[in-house]
Amino acid sequence: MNEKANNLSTRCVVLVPLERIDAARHVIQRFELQATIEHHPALAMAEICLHHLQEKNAQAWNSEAQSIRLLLVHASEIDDVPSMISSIHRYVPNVQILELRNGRLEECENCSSVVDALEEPPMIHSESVDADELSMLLDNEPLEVDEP
Amino acid sequence: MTERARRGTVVFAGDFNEEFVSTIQQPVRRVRTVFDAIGELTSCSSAGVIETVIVDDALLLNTPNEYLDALRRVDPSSVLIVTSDSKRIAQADAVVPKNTTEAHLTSAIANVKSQSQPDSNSTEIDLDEVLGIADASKYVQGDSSLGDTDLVRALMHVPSKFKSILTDLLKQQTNWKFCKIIDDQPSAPKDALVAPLRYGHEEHGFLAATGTTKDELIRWSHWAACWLELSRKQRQLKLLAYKDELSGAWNRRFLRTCLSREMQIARDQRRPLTVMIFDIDDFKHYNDRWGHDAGDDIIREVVRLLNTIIRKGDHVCRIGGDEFAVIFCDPEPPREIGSNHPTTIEVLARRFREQVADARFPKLGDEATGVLSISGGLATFPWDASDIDGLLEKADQRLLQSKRHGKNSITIGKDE
Repeated sequence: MNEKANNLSTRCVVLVPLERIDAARHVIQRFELQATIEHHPALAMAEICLHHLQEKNAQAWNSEAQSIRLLLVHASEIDDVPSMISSIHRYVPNVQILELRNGRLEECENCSSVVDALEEPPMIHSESVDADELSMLLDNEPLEVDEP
Repeated sequence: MTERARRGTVVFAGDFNEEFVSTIQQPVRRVRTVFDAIGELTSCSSAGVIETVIVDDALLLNTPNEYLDALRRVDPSSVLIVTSDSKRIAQADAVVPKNTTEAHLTSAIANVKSQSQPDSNSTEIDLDEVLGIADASKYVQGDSSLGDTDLVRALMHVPSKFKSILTDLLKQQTNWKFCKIIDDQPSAPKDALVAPLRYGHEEHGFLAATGTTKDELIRWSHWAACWLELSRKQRQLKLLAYKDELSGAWNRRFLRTCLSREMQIARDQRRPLTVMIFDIDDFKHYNDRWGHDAGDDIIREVVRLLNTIIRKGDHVCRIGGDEFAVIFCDPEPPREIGSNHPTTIEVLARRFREQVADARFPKLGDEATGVLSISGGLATFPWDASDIDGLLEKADQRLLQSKRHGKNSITIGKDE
């Protein structure tokens, strides 16, 4: 992925631990990003949402579309990040989530698995079964019933 | 989120008892995390439908202020309530116990809302703000202590802060321990001396101070009263320059000044702005038949009726003999993709036309009741025009269109 090519039309939020802020600054400078830096996942999500609203508004006025990106830098050191990603997927799915890996910006591949793991298992309401069917299902043999 | 939240919705974030949530009388949405609550606020932000967010403190981990700050960033107007048995959380509007009742919760929400209501004095229009005269960025305080020039600057650029700057200056010049301009004597602290702020026959309240003598206080109260009178005169002159004396509505000069500013705001905030121009059908006939006094009564009554219908932030202007303009600049939500002319303004315009038709005008006699009508035209930025002249011209064209169609109508966004 050529990061520099897309930067001009991108709104970007960088989530980084406070003690790693130099790394974020370095990334911003290196990839010439126009970004805001946040150290808390809730504040990062708020910024993403505000960008989303701004973008929606701009589109209503026929302005040129801009993409929105969340860049995670050393985000594994921050609590609650998977929960944030799950909500971003649900409410602002147009946001692209990137992660800094080995000096490159890459799509956050684990995001979807994190989200899947967080989703509640689907509730299946089966039709009621009678004692005979239950016995068949559990024991693989019909319930013995006294013949009249 | 598939179902759209309704106005006055309460969002519950966290693990709340189903039985308790079901007692809430308002529409409710339940989410699992603060992040989801942020998402809900984002989804509903343009419609402003979420009134309250209630957060279980277990979701706030060790950083409650950051989580709540995030919710506020997305929607500063929502009431934020945290349920907690132990923590004091500064960022929350209110903290209620986890086993709170519906009545307690409703009372807490009402309490927060009442505290955030503006006081009655602030409902008065801030003329300087509307006209764009107030501009705090142009107020530059002198290098060291305050002086008379700071008061002149305050009068020119931040009239709303004039009294507080005057008080600051008094404190600096006198070294009084306490000094305040108050409306009535009983509200002064017990140990303070009080002197009236009077200039000629004009009363400007009282000056209360501690650590002073009576003579000194009176001397300074004369000086302060001079400045307060100058401030009053300046405001009076501005009102004379921008108000129509007969009807009490704003005048044509105000229309252009205000419209210029409001249009800039609408452009910056990507909001629509609507202007309605209307006149009274056959007004000359009423003037000729019942005299100019009756005509003046009609003008005043029409403005009064209109003022009962418009919202805070809208402005009524009389721009000719029987010609009026209304600026509907109460902020509509920012435009949605593919949105159209705002329908709320159409409802207001229609209601106004109906009220005029039903109004009674004593000087016209009983036979005139119900015969008065208005014709008008609405134009909305950005659909109809992108500048003041274009917008006024379009509204005027639609007014003429209403006349051509037999009067007693308001034309909205349709051109022949």
